Amino acid sequence: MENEKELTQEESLRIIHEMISAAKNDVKADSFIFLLWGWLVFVASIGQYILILMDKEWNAIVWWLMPIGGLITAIYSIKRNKKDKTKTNVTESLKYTWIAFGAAMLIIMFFNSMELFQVLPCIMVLYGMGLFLSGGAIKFKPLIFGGIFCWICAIAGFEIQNIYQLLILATAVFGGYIVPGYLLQMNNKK
Amino acid sequence: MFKDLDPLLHSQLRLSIMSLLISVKEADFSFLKEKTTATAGNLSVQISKLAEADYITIKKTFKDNYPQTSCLVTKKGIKAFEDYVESIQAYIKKN
Repeated sequence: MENEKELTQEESLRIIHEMISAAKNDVKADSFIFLLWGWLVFVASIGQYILILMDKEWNAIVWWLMPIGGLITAIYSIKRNKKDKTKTNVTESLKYTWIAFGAAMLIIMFFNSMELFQVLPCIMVLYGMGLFLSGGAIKFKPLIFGGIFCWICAIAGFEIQNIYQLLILATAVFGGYIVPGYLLQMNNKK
Repeated sequence: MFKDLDPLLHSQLRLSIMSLLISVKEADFSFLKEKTTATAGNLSVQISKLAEADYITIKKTFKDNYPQTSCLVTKKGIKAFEDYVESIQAYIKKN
């Protein structure tokens, strides 16, 4: 690109428009995190369901996958942040959405006095919120629908307060994280 | 004909850099290079000029022992950009 070329006002406006569009279209949400959490929660909920059926008292052990997921997410995000310093308003709003989601999750998980089958639907409501906001920010409909799907699962979860709720949770993350995650992966490769 | 236009912004590459930085919160050198298709040398010179005028801030960090440069627009830069766009719009309205 030449530097000192005399610009007309139309050229100036065209440059501004082109560059703003170029920056705007560069946003790609990472499918890795969605797939990671989708599969972790899917395996944990199905795993706990099976362990409960087997009458294992230590059935909640599967949820130890979550701090492992948290650690992987933290390491992955730090590495990615180092690699790509470009921060758009969209990537920033995605970051804050999921920080808010994480904070809300931790508060519900550690400071509630509800039973497990009341906690899980609350978590599904949060899943829906995070997915819906992310989908809206990057204008990717499968994530928006994934969010709505999680809310529907949350309603079903509030209605069915027994171990089948674990299967509802697995369905929620399958439809909310795993399917949209793979669609996002395909979309990013285009 | 462009007497009110900021000479610092009234250049193809510097205007491109500023338009990109207005759209993002922070951008690294390779992002700016890719989007503007400028050479590294030219880009580096123009970034320095914008930084000297306090329109942008340059952050230098290290990644795997290689220096990495990222830029972000300042409040002064946003104001200058807005004024520049207003001047162009005023000129277009006049004609």
